[in-house]
Amino acid sequence: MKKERFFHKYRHWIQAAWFALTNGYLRGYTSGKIYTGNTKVLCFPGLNCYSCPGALGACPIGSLQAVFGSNTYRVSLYVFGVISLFGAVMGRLVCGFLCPFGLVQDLLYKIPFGPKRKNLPNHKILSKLRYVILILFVVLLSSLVKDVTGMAAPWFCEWICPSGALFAGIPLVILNPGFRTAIGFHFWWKLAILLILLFLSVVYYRPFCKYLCPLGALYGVFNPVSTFRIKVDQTKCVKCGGCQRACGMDIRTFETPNSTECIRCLNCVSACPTGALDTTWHIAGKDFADRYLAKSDETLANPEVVRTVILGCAMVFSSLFTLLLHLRSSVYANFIYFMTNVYPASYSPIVMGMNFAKVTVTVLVLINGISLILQCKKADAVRSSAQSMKILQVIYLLLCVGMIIAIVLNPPIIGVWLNNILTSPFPLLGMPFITLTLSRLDKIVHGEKKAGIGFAILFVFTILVSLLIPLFPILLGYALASAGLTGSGAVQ
Amino acid sequence: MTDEKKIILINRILIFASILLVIIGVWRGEVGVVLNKAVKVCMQCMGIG
Repeated sequence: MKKERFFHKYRHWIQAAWFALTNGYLRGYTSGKIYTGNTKVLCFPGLNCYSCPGALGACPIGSLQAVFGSNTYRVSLYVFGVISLFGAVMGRLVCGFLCPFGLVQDLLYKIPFGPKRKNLPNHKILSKLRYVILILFVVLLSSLVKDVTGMAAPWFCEWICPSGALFAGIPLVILNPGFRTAIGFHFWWKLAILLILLFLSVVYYRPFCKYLCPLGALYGVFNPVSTFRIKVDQTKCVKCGGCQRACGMDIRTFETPNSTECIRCLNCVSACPTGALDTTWHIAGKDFADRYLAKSDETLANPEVVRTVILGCAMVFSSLFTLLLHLRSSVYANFIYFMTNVYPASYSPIVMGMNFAKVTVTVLVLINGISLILQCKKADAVRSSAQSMKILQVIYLLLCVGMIIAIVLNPPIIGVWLNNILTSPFPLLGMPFITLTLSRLDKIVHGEKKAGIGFAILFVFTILVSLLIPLFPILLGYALASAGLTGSGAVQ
Repeated sequence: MTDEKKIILINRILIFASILLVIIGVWRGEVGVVLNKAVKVCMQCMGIG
């Protein structure tokens, strides 16, 4: 079975499985309380209210308004980044496969009751309404209309969102007697909107997604440039209009396969009689396999290419690891400053400057690693990468000089750095060594055993040391505690 | 550059920019606001706020 037909056939099961997975806090459905664990920091892609008793994550539109409406931030980079990441990768595939309220509308439309229509009258004008809701309710009102405490209400959630009423309002009011006493005009208003949309969904295909959903409006903007795309083979297309007839959103797929309205339900791909419609993930799928995986008739890949890819992966991994450790340190430093209003002891302009240089070097290693993987088949890729690695060594040398200057200016910094080496040695020790070894890339790739073995030992050693050393104090603490050698207040 | 390649380039830039936004957002501490909102029952979302 063609993969698109498979996904189309089991689409509702995938939607239901996703709903079960992301709303799996079963105790919430019996106790009438919501989940309060750390996973709630993550925004899930669909319009899934975080006050649903089973919700394990956060609603992106709710989170966007929460940050807009807070008295701390004006713009939400985190939530907007998450939404644009989902949009850039999947576009409105989220609407078709991962949105719980989309599933509800899909199922209602399957009820064999009355005539089935695709669009409401004045469809073209009404379809712009979701952009108005996005700009007015989600962005403007939720960020500008603030109360005396400097906080703003989530206007879309408060006045429109039927997903919140269905998945949060109704279950919590039924399950929790405390909420029943608080029911007022808002509840009945949102219930009315929900009921109208549910009744409309029986006759019209996905009215909320077409006319009101701000999240769909956002994802729709990414549809024409997302990684997942529908493509038309013009040599096979006979322009019969079968795709448009099968499309609930009423899109002429053979003309605009990646329209901002398309929810990627894949009805069109499945319905196309000539097989002219297909889907692609660009490099992530077929192209990636073509580039890196051996074909069935290829007996052995070129060992130089394989070694180049492995080295590229090592560079990417080590630099990402280093960046993560730096991120951890900066979060820690910011946390200390936030709690105490005092910068950590290690803070000084020269240290900040060196950290900046170190992160820059690491990013360069990352870029080198990625370019090495992407150009693994080019003969000069290794040589040019080795040269840039030699430049990085010079930068590391300058960093060493900077460290000496810092120690002369501020001797106590030695203690802080020693502590750093003990807790996260990788950025300080591992990266220079690995960079040093990687400058011999050409020798490693051309099969010089000594260089290859030296690199492998060093890489494994630095990773192990990086992972194990931070555990030593903890293990030591437990060992002392179990031997009864600790005083009061020690490891329990 | 063909249209297809332009789209791929734009897509990669968007993905990179999104990841960057997420990292900066986390670094700024926005996740705390999201978590704080998400772990409390949202009265407005329910319709009783």
